[in-house]
Amino acid sequence: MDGHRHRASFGEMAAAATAGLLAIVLAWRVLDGTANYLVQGWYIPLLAVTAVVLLGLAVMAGIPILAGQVGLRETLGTRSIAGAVLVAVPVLLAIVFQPKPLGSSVLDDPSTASEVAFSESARSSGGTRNVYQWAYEFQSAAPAELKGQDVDVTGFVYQPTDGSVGRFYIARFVVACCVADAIGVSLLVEWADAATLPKDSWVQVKGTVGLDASGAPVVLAREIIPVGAPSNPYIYP
Amino acid sequence: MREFATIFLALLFETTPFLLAGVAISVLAGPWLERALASAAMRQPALGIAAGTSAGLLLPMCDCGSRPLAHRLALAGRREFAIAFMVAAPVINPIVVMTTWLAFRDVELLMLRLGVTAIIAALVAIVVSRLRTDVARAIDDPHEGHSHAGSFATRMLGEFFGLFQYLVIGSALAAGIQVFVDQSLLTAQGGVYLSVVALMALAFLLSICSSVDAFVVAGLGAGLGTGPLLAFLTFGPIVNLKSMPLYARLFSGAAVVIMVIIAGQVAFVAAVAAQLRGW
Repeated sequence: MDGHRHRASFGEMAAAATAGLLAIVLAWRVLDGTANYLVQGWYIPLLAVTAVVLLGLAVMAGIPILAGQVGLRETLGTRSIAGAVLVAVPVLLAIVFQPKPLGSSVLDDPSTASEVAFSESARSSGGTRNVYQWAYEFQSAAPAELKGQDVDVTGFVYQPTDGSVGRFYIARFVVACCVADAIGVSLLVEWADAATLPKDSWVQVKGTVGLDASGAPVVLAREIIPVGAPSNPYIYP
Repeated sequence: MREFATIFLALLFETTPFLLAGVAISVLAGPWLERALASAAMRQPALGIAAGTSAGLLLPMCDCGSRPLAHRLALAGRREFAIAFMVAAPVINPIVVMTTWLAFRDVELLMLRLGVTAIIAALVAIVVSRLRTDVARAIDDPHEGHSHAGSFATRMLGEFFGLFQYLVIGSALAAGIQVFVDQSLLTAQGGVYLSVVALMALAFLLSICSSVDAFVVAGLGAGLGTGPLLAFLTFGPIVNLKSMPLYARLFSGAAVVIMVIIAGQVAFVAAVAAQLRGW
């Protein structure tokens, strides 16, 4: 390049290692399925491609760097060890932090609570409705029209501490892009043994729509079947 | 802490592919675009602004992806095209048109979103391109002129990580705001002016990718009128917390301040007018 060899500093080598590590962490979270807990499903192939491209770039760039032909400090734009550390923060976090699906604790958090509105995509076009589509119907349709309709939905158990007995909520999160935009939706379910259902456990609820004392729609459960958490726990609008 | 880590990583996982794609397009297609924009016709400011505003229709990129290319073109002296492209591309592209339509199925809101964004892009490009000082910050490139694979890789990786640092800072700020600030304080604001300002503030703080922000604001709260929705959908893609460190790295302070002021003013006026409209 410029006729003399460049001796890579500690900061430069740390930055080079970070490039490869970021690629490996992305690939790891895609392969172990936990990336599904963070982003929309259609991002997963993009993340896989990103990991492959980054790894390829790290290898192609790393060889001349290790051979002392290129100064990494300039090439990576990390002009100090602080810069390399900054890049390494999310990499280390993604290694030590095992992503988990959003659950009851987020629904309990008052800072994320807001009245749910629905986009037009929540309107079902026939067939079996999911929790999101039923929640839309519960909010928009006349309760009398819904009464008696069969319900078959899957979600996690949410039990707010409001003292209600024989009731729980079956909930899901709707994610448009990543969990930063997640919105929780839920249906009130009447089930005598609601208290025995573990918080955040996944269940399939079969029943019919009924009306509670105030005339609001509620799911009258006929059968509650414990199921495993799906590999993709979110609903996409 | 778990919630913060989840949202922080989610924002980074969401944006990293697009940042890498933007850098790749900047490095691979940048020289070709520079030559194309050097033609006599494209040197006319009006044509450069029009082309930049609509370029997202051919190069559909979100905000993270459009900035590296805009920076390169601004450095090369194609200011009008670069600034208009940077401001408009995150909204005026086929993906955002489709997702906005799917979220609302409202032609009026969709056309308002595109129109107001085009106005902001044109105004920012006109004002910023007349600055007498440098608009884009120079980034040292020790490999300019070298074309072998190793040099290409180090250039691309260098540019990616140079920007990734600022994405880390922005994502951490946005995640912190999401976890520790009660969003319902903003969505529950009443009155035309206050609700418009609140939704602009929310869009700034949430920093959601423009390709899906329509779904998000559609689900934020019942009863939001066209004005606050329009404010969220036009201001957020241009000015948001996640992007500010990236802007500061790539563009001059004057250019960034002008963009923020114009985007804020136009989005606010348009949103209020839409809410109070008589048409």
